[in-house]
Amino acid sequence: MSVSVLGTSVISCHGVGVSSLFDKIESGEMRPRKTYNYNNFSLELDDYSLPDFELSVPVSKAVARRLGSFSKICFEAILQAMQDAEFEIENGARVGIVIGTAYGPSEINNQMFSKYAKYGSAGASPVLFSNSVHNTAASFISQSLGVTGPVTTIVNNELSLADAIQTAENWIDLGHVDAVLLAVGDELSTTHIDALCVNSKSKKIFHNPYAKETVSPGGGVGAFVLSRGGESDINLVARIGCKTEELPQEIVFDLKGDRSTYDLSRKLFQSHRILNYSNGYGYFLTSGALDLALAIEGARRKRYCKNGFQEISDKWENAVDEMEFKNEISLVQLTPFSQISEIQVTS
Amino acid sequence: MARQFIAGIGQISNLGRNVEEARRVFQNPSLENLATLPLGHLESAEFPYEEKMFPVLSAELNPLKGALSLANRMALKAATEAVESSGLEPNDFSSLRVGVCVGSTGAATVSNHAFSVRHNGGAETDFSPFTLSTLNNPAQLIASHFGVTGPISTIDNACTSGTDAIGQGYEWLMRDKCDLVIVGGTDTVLENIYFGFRSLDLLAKTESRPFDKDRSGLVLGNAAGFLVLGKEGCLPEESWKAEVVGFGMGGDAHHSTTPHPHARGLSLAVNTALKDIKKESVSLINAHGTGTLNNDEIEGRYLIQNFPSAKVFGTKGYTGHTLGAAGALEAIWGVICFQDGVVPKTLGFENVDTEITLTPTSEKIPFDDEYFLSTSLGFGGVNSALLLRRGEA
Repeated sequence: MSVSVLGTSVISCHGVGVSSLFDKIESGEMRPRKTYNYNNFSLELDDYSLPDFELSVPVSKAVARRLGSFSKICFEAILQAMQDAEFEIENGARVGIVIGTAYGPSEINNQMFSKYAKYGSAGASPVLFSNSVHNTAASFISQSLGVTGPVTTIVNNELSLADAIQTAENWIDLGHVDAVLLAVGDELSTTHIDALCVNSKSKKIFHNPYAKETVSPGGGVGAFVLSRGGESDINLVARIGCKTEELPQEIVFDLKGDRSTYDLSRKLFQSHRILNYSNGYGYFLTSGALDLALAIEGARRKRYCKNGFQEISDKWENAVDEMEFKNEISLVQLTPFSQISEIQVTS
Repeated sequence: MARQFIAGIGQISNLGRNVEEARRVFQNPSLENLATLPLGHLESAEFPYEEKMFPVLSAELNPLKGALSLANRMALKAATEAVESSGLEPNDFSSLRVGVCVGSTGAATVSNHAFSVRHNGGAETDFSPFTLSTLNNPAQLIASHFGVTGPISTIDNACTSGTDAIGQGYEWLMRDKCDLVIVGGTDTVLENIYFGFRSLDLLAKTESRPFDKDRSGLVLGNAAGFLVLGKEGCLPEESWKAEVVGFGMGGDAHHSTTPHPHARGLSLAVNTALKDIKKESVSLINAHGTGTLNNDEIEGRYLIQNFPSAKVFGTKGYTGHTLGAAGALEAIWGVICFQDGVVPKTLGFENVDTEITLTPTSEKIPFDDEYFLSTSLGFGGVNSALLLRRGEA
């Protein structure tokens, strides 16, 4: 079974909306550089931080003050996807919410642990704690939009996108809901940046997914309004547990350039032609959601997004900069356990 | 449509290191029979608990050379017991489409308090707890361990996670996404969770006392509970322990830490799980029953109003609140109730709260009815319900 995409949006380092991300990746515009410091270590990276923005719906000052950045980006991305779909909630019990993520509200967690570092267990904060749990974004969005249908949070690293889509598909196919609001992504991880500051042999890293351990952390969220397959021109099928030989020869591959999947990627995908967009948004485990938003935007424009980043060293021989539009495209993600997910986008 | 059966169960919790140990405690319930520490142990704030509670796990089931958290090792152990008790051989997996779905609030997170405190204090130099954290994903780990390649899902939906994982696996089977699925939940007591609950004034002053008029809060516990579900035709009939016949979810859309006063989401979840089955047919309910003032009041009132003649029991007095594992453990207790023909007493309950008027089991009672309902409520206003039927052809 497939699900239909009624609307989509993203929050990325290029702001709110898919168009700006699509256009910036095609232009190949390099990110500004930023120097990070941690524990007397410093490191220069590409700056993929997410810009601050105002929510497009009013919330009280008290809510705004307590709202974590992860909940905020998921909420705004969903609001924008709903607007793109011209979707309004008439019956909250017939709508579901799925959030997919790897690290969830990581910055709220860092704030919480900063208090522990400073005050010990006396630093525990009820507000930070309740906003630090992984389902905090789904909870906030369901309360804000009055959604009383099924609400869940998937924490499945690289598989989070396919897992979340399969969950939405379950609910729609079994008649639990008519539509699902789905958001998948992660904040820019300062923990990852701090780890790189300490561990990196180099003082400068230029993000390059085609080489090993040359990543600049990024972040972002892709949001989608999904309904029963065939209700729009763009449809998705998600699978987990694919074999490489079952995949098309030309794929958008979520190649990471990280230590845990780089060699595996090289081994498993040496015969596939791969298109990769991560120079546009940086390294994070759930970046497949931005690839999906780009593929949907490509289906609307009748041409897939080109990778405009030309000056990449050590580029794989089987990497491509663009793919011919074919009404069907496969996006592929890989875990360190060799598990592969595929999302087919047809239009 | 093919029916979906529970063929295997496995657990590790305060009740014991496997199902048989837990079964013995259920048969003769008392605090002294609990496998590990007395219920007040968490108040001592001594961390970590690992060596005290589950020493066997320190040495075994750690294929990733020390990288695996306790919650993931417990998950592997309980999932292995569930697979073994299903009568299936690992070789059988190669001819079946097998999925894995796990619920947990902490097993797929960095979940290392000491590291996170040092890191945010600005003085950390060893980031391996962070860099290795992506290996600590229980569904991916179990799928890799058993070499299965079906759908894989890790759900972090607060305290409904374990129930949700069973429900998701059940729905995969219904939709023919796989033939067999390993489902369950796992969680350990993490310091930030413990102190977080304490900051919300939700921890018990003494022990867990579900639905009791003098209840004062919850006691956290470590556990993993796993089940093997399969479609009729993919499992031998002699392995059928119970049938999964309904699952539902519902949202409160109300508050992040307090249930809806009229149990809006719970009602939606139960109604979805029951589908065409009348409420009067349900004679046994395992309540979420955390022992907190709000949960027990709202859940208790809902149950007494909607299931006035059903027997209700709670198990948090035995296991503590095991968060993402709770729903999975409680489905296993349902299977044991069917198998043994008895329902245990609700350990910790002594006196009826007249504001609720619910009287859960206060002693071991016989049970030979058809249906078992389990309810779960969680932070964020999430609610789930699972309906099991006696596992007969």
